[in-house]
Amino acid sequence: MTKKVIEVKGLTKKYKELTAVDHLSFNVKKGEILGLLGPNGSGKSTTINCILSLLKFNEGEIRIFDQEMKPDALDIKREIGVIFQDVAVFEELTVEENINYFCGLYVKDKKECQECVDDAIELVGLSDFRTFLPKKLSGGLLRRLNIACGIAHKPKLIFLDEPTVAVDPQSRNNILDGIKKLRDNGATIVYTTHYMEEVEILCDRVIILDHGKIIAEGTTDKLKDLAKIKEKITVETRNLTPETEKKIESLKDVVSEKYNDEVLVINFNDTKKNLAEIVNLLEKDGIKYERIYSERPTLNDVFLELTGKDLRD
Amino acid sequence: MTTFKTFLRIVQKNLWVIIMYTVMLVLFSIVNSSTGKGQMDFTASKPSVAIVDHDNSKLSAALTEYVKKNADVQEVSEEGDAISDALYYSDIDYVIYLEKGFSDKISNGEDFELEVKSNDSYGSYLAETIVSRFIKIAKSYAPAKEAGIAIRTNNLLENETKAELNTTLDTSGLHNAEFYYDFMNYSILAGLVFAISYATIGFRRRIVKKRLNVSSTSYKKINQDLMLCNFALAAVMLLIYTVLGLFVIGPSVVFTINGLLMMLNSVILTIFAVSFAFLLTNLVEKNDALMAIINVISIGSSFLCGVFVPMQWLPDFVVFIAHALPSFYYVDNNRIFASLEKFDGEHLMPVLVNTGILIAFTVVVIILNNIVSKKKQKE
Amino acid sequence: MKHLFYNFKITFKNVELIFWTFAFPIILVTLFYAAFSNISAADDFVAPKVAVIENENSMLVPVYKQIFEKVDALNVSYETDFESAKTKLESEEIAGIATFDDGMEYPKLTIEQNGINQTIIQNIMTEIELSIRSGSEFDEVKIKNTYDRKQEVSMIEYFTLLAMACLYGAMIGTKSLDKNLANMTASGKRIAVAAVSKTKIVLGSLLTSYITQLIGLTILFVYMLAVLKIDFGEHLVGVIGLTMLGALAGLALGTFISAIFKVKDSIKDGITTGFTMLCCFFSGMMGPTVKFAIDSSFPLLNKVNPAALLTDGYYALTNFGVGERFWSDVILLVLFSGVLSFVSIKVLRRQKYDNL
Repeated sequence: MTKKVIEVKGLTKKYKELTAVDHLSFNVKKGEILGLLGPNGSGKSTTINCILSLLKFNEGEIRIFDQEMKPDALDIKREIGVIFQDVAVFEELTVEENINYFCGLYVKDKKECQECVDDAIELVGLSDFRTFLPKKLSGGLLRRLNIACGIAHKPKLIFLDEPTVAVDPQSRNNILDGIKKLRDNGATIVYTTHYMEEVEILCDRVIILDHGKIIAEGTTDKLKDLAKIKEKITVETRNLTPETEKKIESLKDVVSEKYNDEVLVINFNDTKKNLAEIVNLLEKDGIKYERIYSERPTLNDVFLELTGKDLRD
Repeated sequence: MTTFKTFLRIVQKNLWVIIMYTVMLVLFSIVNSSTGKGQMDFTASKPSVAIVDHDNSKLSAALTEYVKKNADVQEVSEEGDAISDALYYSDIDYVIYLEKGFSDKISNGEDFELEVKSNDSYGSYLAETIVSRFIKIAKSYAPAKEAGIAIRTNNLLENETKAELNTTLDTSGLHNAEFYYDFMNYSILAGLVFAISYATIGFRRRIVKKRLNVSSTSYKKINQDLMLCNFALAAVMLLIYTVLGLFVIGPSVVFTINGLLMMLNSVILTIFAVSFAFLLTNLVEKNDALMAIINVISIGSSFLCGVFVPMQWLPDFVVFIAHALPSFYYVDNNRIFASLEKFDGEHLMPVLVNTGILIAFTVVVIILNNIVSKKKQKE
Repeated sequence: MKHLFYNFKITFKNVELIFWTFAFPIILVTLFYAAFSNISAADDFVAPKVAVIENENSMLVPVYKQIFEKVDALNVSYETDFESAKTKLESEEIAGIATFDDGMEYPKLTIEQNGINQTIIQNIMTEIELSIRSGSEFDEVKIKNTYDRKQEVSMIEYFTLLAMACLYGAMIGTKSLDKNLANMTASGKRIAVAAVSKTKIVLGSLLTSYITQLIGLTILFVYMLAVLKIDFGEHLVGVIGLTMLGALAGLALGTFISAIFKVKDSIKDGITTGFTMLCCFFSGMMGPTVKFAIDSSFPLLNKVNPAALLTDGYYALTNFGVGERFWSDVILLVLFSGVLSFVSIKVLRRQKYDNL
C-alpha cells in the first residue's frame, strides 16, 4: 500500500463568522503530485498554512510522515520545502546568498549546503545570475529564485502555492520541468494553481475546493467524467438563424447551447457522432461557417458545472 | 474632488504626527511662559532666589522681605539634589543660607562670611547685589539692637532710584508671544511639512503617476488640485495654532498690532513651507528619506536660526550661516515685532526687507519646483 | 555564524537605517556644538550703557559723575538733549537714561523694557543713592559660594542627543525582527516553516541589531570626544556603560514596536521616530527648562520616559558621581527594557497565528 505523506482529518478554520475551511479531510500519497484547485477565497492557501502549522485552526488533525504536525516539529520541517505565492527573498542578498541563507536553515554541514545550493541553481536555470541582486531580475527569474530557495535542501515534501503567476512562458516551462524532475527524484508535491493547463500536465490527482469544502476529487480524467458534458463543439459563424439555433437546441444529447458574438458553443452529454450531426444540419439549412471544432471539456468546464463559477473568479 | 478626498484620507492616517508636533508646541510655550524664562534665555529681570533661614530672627525676616521686593523668592527643598538641580537649570540663580547667629553677628558688629550658592549668572549677580546691599547697610548700624537695625535698614532702603517705562507695550506678554511663534517654526517645518509631503508623495510614486498620466484628467490639473489641498491643510493647521495661541499667550497680546504682525509673519512662513514640501515630494521618492530630510532641516534651522537658542547667544559664524536659511528672517521679524512701537517707514524697513527675502525664498522654491516637475514629466 | 553575517549584510545595506542610526546623530551633535559654542561666553558680563542728561542746575550731577568714574559695571555717556537720548533708547543703543532735576533731587531713570540691563542700572543707581544718603561708604560683605557648577546647562542637550541615538536603535531592531516574522514579511513565513528554532533566529537578529547600534554609538562617541572635544568629566566609563544600557532599551523598544504593531514598515519607523522625538522633547532637547519643569511638576512622566532616564542618568553621573540618583535611573531603565521585552517575547512566542 502506498504510504500516506499527509493526512488531514476534519480540518476546520473559522475567521469570526466566516468558515474558511470546513471539515476538510484528504490524504496525499507518497510520490504523487496533488493539485489543489479552487477560485479565490476557496481556502487553498488557508489549508496549506494550517498544514504547515502557520495558522491556528479550530478543529481537525494533521499528520505528516505519520507524525502529528506541530510548529516545533523540526525533524518533520527538515523534510518540507515551501514556495509561497509571495516572493520571499532578501533584497539585500545576491541570488546565491539568498539560496545559501535559506538552505542553511536546514542543512548544517557547510560542504553539503554548498552542494545543495549549486544543485538548486542548476535545477532552476539561474547559473548565469548567481551574483545578481533580486531587483535586477525579471519576474520570471525572480520566481525561479523563489523556488530555488524553497527546495535547495532537497525536501521530501514540497508545497507550491501558485508558483507561475505572472511568469513568461519560457520561465513557466522551466518551472514545470523542474517540478517534474523533483517528483522523479522522489518528492511528494502539493500544487495549487489557477491554470488548469498546468494541472492537466502535472498532477496525478486533483482536489477542487469551494468555500472551504471539497466538491470534487480524483484524477483529471475521472473529474471530466463527472461532468455531464462529454463533448463541446464550437462553430464560428456569422449567419446563424434563430430557427437553426432552435433545431440544434432540440437535438438529442444536447445539454446546452449558446450563440454569442458570432460564436456558437454546443455542449453534449454523449460523444457519439455529434460533429457529423451538426455539420449536416448546418449544411442542410445553408448556414455558412468559418470554423468548426470539437473538444473534450476542461476542468474549468467541470468546475463551472459544479459551482456555476469559473476557476479564475 | 477625488484628489481632495484621497489626500484627506492619507492625511487622516498620519494625523498623529501633526498632533504630536502641536502638543510639543503648546507644551513648550506653556513651560516657557510659566517659568518666565525661555530656553536658555538669561534676560529675566528679576532674579530667582531661595532663602534658607535657620536664624529666624527679626533681621533675617527683614532681609527676606527686602529680597522679596526685588527678586522672585522661591521655596526650595533642602533634601537631595533639589537645590543643585534648580541652580543647574537656572530655575534658581542664588541661594542664601542664613545660619543661626546671623543677626547676632550683625548686631555685635562681628565679622562673618555669608554662605551662598550661586550659579554665576546675570541673575545671581543681581541677587548678590541685593543681598549684600541689605547686609552692608545693616552692618553699618552696628553695634545696636537687632530690631533697631532692622527698622533703620528698611527706612534707608525705601529710597530707590525710580524708573519710568518709556514704552506702553506689554513687553513680557510679547516676549511670550515671540517664543510661541518662534517655536512654531519647528512645528511648521517638521509637522506641517511632513503631513503635506507624506500625503503628496503617494501621488508621485512611479506606478501611481503612470496611472494618473493616462487618466482623462490632465496631470497638470491633478497637480493644481494637490497644491490646493496642501494650502487648505496648511490653513487649517495655522488656524489651530493661532487659536491655541489665544489660550497660551492670551487674547490681549494676540490681538495687538504686534501680535497680529507675528501672525502674518507665520502665514508667510507657512506659504514657504508648503511650497518647500511640494518641492521635496518632487525630489524624494521614499518615505524614509523624506522623514530624514525633514528632521534635519527642521531641527537644524531651528537651532541655527535662534529658535531653541536665542540669536544673541549664537556664535558669529553660525549667525552668518543662518542668513542662508529662511527661518532666520522669520525669527528676526518676530524679534522686531516683540518690541516694535513705531510703525513708520524707518522702523518697518528691516521687517520689509526680511519679509521680502522670505518671499524671495518662496519664489525660488516654486521656480525650482516647476523645473523639476517638467524634467520628470519628460522622463 | 553564517546567518549572523548575512544579518549584518542585510542591515548595513539598508541606507535609510544607516542614516538614522549613524549619520543623523552626528549631524545633530554638530548643530548643537555650533549653536552652543558661545553659550558660556554669552553669560559674560557686559556693562550696560546708560546716558546721563547734563543739568547745570543739579547739585548731584557732579557727585554722581565722580562715583561713576569708579564704577566698572556701568558704561556711562553724557548727553545734553533728552530727545536724542530717547531715540537711542528706542533703537536699543542704550539701556537707560538718567535725568536729574534741579537742586538736590536724586535722578530718575527712563527705560524701554524691564530687562536685566535695566535692572542692573537701577540697582547700581540705587546703591549710589543709598550711600550718598547715608553719608558713608559701606564695607564689603564677605560671601562664600559653595556651589560648584560642574558643567554648562547645555550639556543636557548632548545628553538628550545620546539618549536619542540610543532610542533610534529601535529602528534597527524593528527592521531586523520583521524579516523573521511570518505575519510581517514573506521571508518571515519562509523562516517560520524552516527546520530551525525560532528563538535562535530571533535572538540572532537581536544580537546583530545590538552590535550594529553599538557600532553607531561608538562612532558618535569618538566624534564627540575627539573632534568636538566635549568633556564628560571623570566618569567616562559610567557614561559608556549607561549608553550601552540605553542601546538595550532602544532594542527593547524596537522589539516591542515590531511585535505589537501590525503595520507597514514605514509606519513603524514613523512610530519610532515620533515616540523618540517626543521623549527627547520631554527630556530637554528643545530646551533644558522643559525637563526641569516636567521633573518638578509631573515627575512620573519622566520616570517612564527612557530618554529622560538616560539624560538624568548622565546628569547625575557627571554632576554627583555614582550615587542613589544614578542607580535609580539605571534600575528604572532596566525595568523599562525588561517590561517591554517581556511583553514582546509573549507575543513573539506565538508560533501559530490567527491570520496571516
